[in-house]
Amino acid sequence: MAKFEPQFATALEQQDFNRLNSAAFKVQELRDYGYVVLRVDANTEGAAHALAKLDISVPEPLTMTGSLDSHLVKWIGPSEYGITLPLAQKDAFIKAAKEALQGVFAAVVDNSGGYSFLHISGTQRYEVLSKLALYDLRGQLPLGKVVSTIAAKSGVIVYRVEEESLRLMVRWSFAQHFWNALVKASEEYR
Amino acid sequence: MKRLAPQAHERIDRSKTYQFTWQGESYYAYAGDTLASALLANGIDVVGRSFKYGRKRGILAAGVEEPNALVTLESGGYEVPNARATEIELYDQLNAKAASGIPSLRFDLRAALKPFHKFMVAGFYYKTFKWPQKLWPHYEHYLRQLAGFSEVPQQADAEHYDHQYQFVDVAVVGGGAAGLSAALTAAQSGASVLVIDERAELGGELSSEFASSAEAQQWFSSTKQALEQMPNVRILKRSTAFALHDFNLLLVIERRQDHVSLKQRNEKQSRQRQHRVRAKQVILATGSHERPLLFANNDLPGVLMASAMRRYLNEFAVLCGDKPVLAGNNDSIYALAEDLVKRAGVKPVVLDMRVGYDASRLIAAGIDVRQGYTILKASGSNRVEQVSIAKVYYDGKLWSASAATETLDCDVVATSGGFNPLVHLDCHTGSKPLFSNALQAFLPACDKPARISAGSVNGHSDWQACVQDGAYAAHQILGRLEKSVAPTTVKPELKLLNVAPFFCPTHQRNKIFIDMQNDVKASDIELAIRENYRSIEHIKRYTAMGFGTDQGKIGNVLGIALAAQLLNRSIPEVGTTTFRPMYTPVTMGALAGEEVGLLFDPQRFTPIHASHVARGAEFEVVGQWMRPWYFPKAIEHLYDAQSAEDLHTAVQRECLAVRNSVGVMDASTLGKIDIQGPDVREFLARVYTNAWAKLAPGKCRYGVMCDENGMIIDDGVTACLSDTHFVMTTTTGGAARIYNHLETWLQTEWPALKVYLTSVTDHWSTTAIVGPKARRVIEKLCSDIDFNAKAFPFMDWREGTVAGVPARVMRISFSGELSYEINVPANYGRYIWEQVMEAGKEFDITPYGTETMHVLRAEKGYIIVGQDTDGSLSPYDANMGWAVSLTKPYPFLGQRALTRSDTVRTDRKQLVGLLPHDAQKVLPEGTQLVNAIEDKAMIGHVTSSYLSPILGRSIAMAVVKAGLSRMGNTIYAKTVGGETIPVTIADSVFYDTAKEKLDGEV
Amino acid sequence: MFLIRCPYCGEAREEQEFSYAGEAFIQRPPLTCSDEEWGDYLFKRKNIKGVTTEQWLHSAGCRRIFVMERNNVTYEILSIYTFESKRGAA
Ligand SMILES: [Zn+2]
Repeated sequence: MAKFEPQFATALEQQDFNRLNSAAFKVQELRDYGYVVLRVDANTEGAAHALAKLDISVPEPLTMTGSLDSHLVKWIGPSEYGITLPLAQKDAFIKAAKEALQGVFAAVVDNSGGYSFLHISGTQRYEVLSKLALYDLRGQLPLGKVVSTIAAKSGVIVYRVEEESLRLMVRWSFAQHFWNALVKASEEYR
Repeated sequence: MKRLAPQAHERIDRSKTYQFTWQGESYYAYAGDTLASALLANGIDVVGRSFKYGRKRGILAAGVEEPNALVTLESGGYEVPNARATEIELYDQLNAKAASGIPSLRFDLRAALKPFHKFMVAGFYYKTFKWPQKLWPHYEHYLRQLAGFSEVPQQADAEHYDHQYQFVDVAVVGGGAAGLSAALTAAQSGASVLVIDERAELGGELSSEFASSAEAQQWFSSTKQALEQMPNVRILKRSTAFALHDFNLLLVIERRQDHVSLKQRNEKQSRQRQHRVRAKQVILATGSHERPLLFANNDLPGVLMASAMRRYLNEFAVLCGDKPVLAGNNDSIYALAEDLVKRAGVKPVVLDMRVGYDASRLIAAGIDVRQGYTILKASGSNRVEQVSIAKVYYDGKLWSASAATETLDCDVVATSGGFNPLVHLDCHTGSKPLFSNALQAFLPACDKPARISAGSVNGHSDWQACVQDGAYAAHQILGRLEKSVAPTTVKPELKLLNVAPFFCPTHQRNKIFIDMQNDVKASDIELAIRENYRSIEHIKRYTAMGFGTDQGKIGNVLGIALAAQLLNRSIPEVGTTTFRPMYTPVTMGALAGEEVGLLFDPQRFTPIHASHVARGAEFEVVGQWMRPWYFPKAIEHLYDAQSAEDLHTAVQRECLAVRNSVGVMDASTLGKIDIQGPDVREFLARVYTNAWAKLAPGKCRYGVMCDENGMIIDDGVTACLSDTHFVMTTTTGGAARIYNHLETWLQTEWPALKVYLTSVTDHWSTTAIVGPKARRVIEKLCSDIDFNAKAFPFMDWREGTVAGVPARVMRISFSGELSYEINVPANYGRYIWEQVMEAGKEFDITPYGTETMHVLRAEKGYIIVGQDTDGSLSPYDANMGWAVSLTKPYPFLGQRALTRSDTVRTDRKQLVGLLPHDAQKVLPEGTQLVNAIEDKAMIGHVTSSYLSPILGRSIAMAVVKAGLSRMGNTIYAKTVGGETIPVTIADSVFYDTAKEKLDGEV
Repeated sequence: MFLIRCPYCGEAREEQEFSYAGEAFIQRPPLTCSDEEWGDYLFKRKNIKGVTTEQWLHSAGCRRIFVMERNNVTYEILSIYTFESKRGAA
């Protein structure tokens, strides 16, 4: 058997990120995050114990708990949480979660490959995004909030963990379309 | 010269002279001019020809309501049709021509048809061109040429457009006295405020007051400055709110670059932007438009609105004529007279229909004021030269007029027949405006939540009252927002302009125009009523009143008043026609925004896409996905010429490669749903027609999904990972729909089922290695799975490491060949594909697309949901009874319907194979089928049809009435081209019926 | 365009985030019912002019289905509630 060296390529790997790299508007694709979907009703039998073991406190609607260093738990819907975590810790986390939730009505699903993870900053970020997003990101997305909405006809999850930036997840297959829309919408600020 | 010496507060900047071209000739005007003021300043009277009669027309108004001065701007990719000269800000080198006037403004074909005009009354087109119907395209072509509008631009728009979503507490429509006052009050409470104004500069009609009122000017400057400095206020100038939808969705078009010369436009910026504003509260400070008095030949160039003449005078220092006659039925006419004296030293003749207004000041100044008079008729050739006037009496119900008493020489006539509040936006959500007798006007009802009106739209006429009304409105809505600001205000008293009731001097031979843009005359309304039209909506449609691009902004209310008079009803009884969006014409570009071309519909890409592009694939769109259609090989010719294979040649080659050696396909687009929970088997048993209780971990099963009507809606393979964990695949196009379908049943009908669904479509990339040599390829890449056919049989799946990447490998087949589908996380998808290509090199591995996939599956009789089914095919109709289990404890979705009398009919259309007698004849898909050559009754149609390379003949799948019981029968396909092709009904499995190929090379 | 307050997300969102999911509270008859009753269940809808009770799915948001009572003449939304709250009340 030949020796293999697997190559990892994100959705926007081939795009020229220098195009969206100004003080006015800057986009980066983050390679080093994993994404795990956790489905569990916190009130279901055994859930509280398992969640405590995993150091997960369940967020209220449209909010987040934890941090990106270990695991950022995002409310996606009732009994549905999206967990963003360092890619290197993903497999261990999934293993631990499955063990902790053994026998509990819950689901742990690796969806790391399902998205492109974007970091959006720049003084004009809201002006650009308001051309695409149906949601009032400027006015209604304070620190610690997460929303699932539509931007550029694509489903997106947008959340804020820093004052000066937004993070956005877009499905892998829509990422290039979304990129094209960002390029067009930010043209006047380049 | 029409341009006066510099005036205080004029809008023009005399230090900047702009050159512009009108009808091919060069002129000059100043920065700050509109095209209309520039034309007037250059003494140009005739700016267009009318729609139906080709009459000469001049500028009537000074703003958005202008019906006559429609122009075409620029050419090529910058051509703008039907722009209103009154709204166009002049820029250097602007090139404009009249929208109408074939072949020229001086000579007009329609005017030459004058002897026939008496036949061209209302309903003329309906009556004349109705018959014979087949000639209508001919008439239409001719009529469209005659119509007084711009030609459609022939080149694609060179500019681009965008959208922006806005979210505010308060949107204020209108930047006049009321709007600015409302905005300031609202903003002082801390609320976020968006001010929308259509002009280049804020102020609205207040700007006309600056010349005569320093107080107005001061209030404006300080208010504007305050607003501009507040961080919670955004001001959109050159922006028209064109629609107000439910829940205060306010649509606004902002003209970002229309005022910039072509050379200086910024290509990176949109020409126009559509703002989609969600406002918690809307303040409608939309103002009002003046309406004219009616008299014969009221459309002559030189006849215009009094307020327009005043704006041209006060804001642009343009005097529209030296010998003006002013005529009106309300107090406002006197303000213009005063301004004319003061600013231009011109003494007009003032005709007031009413008696009693105290005009002593004007009379003392030497102005000829005649009360109780109006104009009966205007005359002149290129523009107005004379008016005949008459004495009028009002008996408390109706006006009557004497015969003409006198003829006055004049070179301009300005009239005011009252004011039309701009109720449009308020009416877009279904509100009906209310008629006020005191104001002789329709007022906005404002009976929908979260909106209020302020200023002259409420009938206020003096600017101080508008300011007060704006502040009052803002206080009202701040209360609703639970915000406040001191001091509070009271609702201002209405100061009436004493508008006299409507009057139209009919019974004359000359034309009196109600709707100038559409050439609708008073006599047309009379005719409509004589012909027994009663509803104003019908009268509108019969006469085409208000059908133009101006939507009858000036004329409609006059038409309604005339109809009321003729029908002997009150104006409110007649009512208005329906106000619908758009308030003004909106460019198609602004409606589309950036969602054009590549961004029109999202294109979805698989992780392997770049590899397909590199291999020269042709693509097809399958439910937004860009899928490789086929992979044409380059063909070398003599003398180094090169071309690529066509579809047929490529597919032939790809099919044979798969059947004889090995092929590879990107199957990443299939929908994938992760299903977990203790009730997952029960859930699958309910949503699929077959059984799921006993499927062991490590196994896969094909399932057919039906709706409650028992008809196939999807199919796919589901793998069992454990007793509580399955992964379902759906069709590419059905992924989102099926996911929603499953969630809906779980959440509404079966909330007790313990199952969680998660879409993982994008997480997995799938590479399918297909063909007799598939095993030999995958064995080179994976050592931790035993690929022996007995150890890893058909419809099993295994977990392993492929080329160093953790993968799920499924042994399923959509071609009848040995096939391994390698599933890896998306970010390794392209790597795995390339590894497979490399490993397969020695077997000449052939990438193939959707077309070859379709041929291969059709050779095996596998259905494609949505192609071979159309929502009316049950599993039995599809000859898939083997996939139906009727013995499950909880019947599956659709089970009940399978025993409905209609579903059990034996003559239902059933899915069968067809073999054309001519084996080289490929039936067009969709072709209808009949029993006998001469038959016309259709018994079914072709759903799939291909030339099968491995069989060397044509094959087809079709639905045929009772087809499953008619094997071997000959029926006929009738093509659109008129051919009748004999075909034999056959089993739909055409190839390898014994399934000998499934295990590949042994 | 509606502005719909999702009862799960707890805030108003644009209509484009939602999909209409049919009339609410249609009773699924027992499978022993007559063909005619099954046909009515499949195909007959109240099609009311006025106040209708509908299922809406927050498809681009939390993916939950809820009930919306609205007047299809005036476009007024009268109430929005979850199936859980209805089941709880019954
Ligand atoms: Zn929601």
